[in-house]
Amino acid sequence: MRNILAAAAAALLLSSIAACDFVRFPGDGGPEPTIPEAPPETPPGAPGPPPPVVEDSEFERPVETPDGETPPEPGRDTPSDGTTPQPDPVDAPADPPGDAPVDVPVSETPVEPETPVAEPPPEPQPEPEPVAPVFSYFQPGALLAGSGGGFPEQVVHAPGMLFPIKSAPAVLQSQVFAFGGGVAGGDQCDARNYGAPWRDNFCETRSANRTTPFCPVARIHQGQDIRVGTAADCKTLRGQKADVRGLHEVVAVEDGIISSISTYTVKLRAEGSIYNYMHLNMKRLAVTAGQSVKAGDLLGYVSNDFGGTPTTIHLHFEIIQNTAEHGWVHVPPYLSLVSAYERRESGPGEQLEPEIGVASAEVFVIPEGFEIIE
Amino acid sequence: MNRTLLFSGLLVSTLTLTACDRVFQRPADTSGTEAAAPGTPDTAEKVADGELPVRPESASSSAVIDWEAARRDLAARSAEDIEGSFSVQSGGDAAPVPVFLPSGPVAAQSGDVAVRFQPTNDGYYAFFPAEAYDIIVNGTNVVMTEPGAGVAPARTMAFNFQPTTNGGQVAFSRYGADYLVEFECKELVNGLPACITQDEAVAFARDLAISGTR
Repeated sequence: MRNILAAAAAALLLSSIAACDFVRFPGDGGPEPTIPEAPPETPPGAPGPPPPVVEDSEFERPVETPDGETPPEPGRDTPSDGTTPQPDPVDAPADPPGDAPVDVPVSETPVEPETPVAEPPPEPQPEPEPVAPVFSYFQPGALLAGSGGGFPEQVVHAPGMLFPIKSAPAVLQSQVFAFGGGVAGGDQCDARNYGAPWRDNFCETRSANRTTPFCPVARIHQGQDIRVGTAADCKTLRGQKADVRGLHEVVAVEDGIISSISTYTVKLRAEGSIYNYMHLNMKRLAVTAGQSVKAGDLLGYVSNDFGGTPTTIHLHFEIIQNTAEHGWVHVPPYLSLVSAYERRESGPGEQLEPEIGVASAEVFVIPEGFEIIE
Repeated sequence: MNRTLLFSGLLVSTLTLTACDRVFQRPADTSGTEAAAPGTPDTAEKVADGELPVRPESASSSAVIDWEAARRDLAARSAEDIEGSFSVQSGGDAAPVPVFLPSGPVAAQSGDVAVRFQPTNDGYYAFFPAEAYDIIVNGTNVVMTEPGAGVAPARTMAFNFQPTTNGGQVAFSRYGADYLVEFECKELVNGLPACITQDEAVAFARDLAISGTR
């Protein structure tokens, strides 16, 4: 009787320990592993840096090197790749002290000594794939303070279109008013450019008398600028000859025909819409004029071609659409791009709160006579 | 002694199982805390659900084309007027909108770039290379309407010019279809595409003539 009771106690103890192992390694038939979510407070790309500070009210244009590049400015180029370091949830200790199997001294019990106390620890389970990065964006029409008046009441003008960048991370952002731009100065490869939340720059101030019914004033930017990749990518591209750049793939957003290829523009004609892609590496285009393309087909690569005029490395993207109210006009591409990026990343972006009355917001004042070209 | 040992074993087993419960519950508790953290945007919940935001979208529709008027106007063009101009196919296989093209003779080639005419599902485009700029004439029967938009204003006979990042464009409507003439500058002057003026662009658009119908 005594032996039976002792054996029962030992069996219960062993099953308890085994149960602990079962719980600790849920991949072995236990509960489904939960995929850790990225911390919502600081998703990659957010919170972004404050608007670029214009020091001492000086709006100096960046000095261009002979090949049209903006040289880095000492002290403004940070080494980061623009992403906020995130704690890796899967690296957190799964078994905090105290939850490990209890090592019970059993040597004094009369049960068989050769019985293993616990099974050998199983192989570590592969870490779950990280959650696809989300992005954050300011509401449509919320241009950088002082960069112009935006159009807030936007719709998705091109539903179903693909994002024009195949796979690389992207930031919708002003080029003129961000680091490395003509107004803000600094270095275009500044990591802060690549970590900022997305921002609309359709309707942004320009010197040329361009208009669209969707902007409150004339002399505006008729498209959306898209910075692509990382600060390190930017530096890599800047160090390459312009005609060999081929890091970030630009793709057709819809089925259509390449209706024109000019000095710095590729035109994709689709049904009721024309998509203008500017500043690609025009020496490495993957399409020819008159060619039919399918959505997702490679068109070329992001660069800074602008007919000899310097600009930053980015994609300028326009949608000209035949609207019921206005006929053929430039329409705001911002929400179409936000929606397309969400589909590409299989996750929604985070719309940031409006920056109403933010005292720290920089307000740009464009110097008289200053020409804003692109 | 034996009874004491037995009860000790049972107690240890019970405590071990209790610890197992804690191991099991901790991840669930933690994730619940994260989900309820203040300031978490609504979109984060949609990430978990795999849902994407639903936003208002424009919808496409096809315009009604006045083919009878287009055929009448094409027939009214004299043979002299048509001679030397760019000709396109008419009939059932023609573009789904009346085709407007330059009325006068056009060079079939400029450098190594040739004239192109391409019917599309919604209309057509025609490409004409020129000295300082290229010209693309687009016609479409597709109209994009914003959600909640009222009755669209009737199209007029106006030629609407807009300077663009590439040069300029002129939009106009005829027979229910909508047309866009794009001028693509080949060079920038002081960083600006100044290859064509508004007067020149509108004059070119006015000179387009109906060249094909169904």
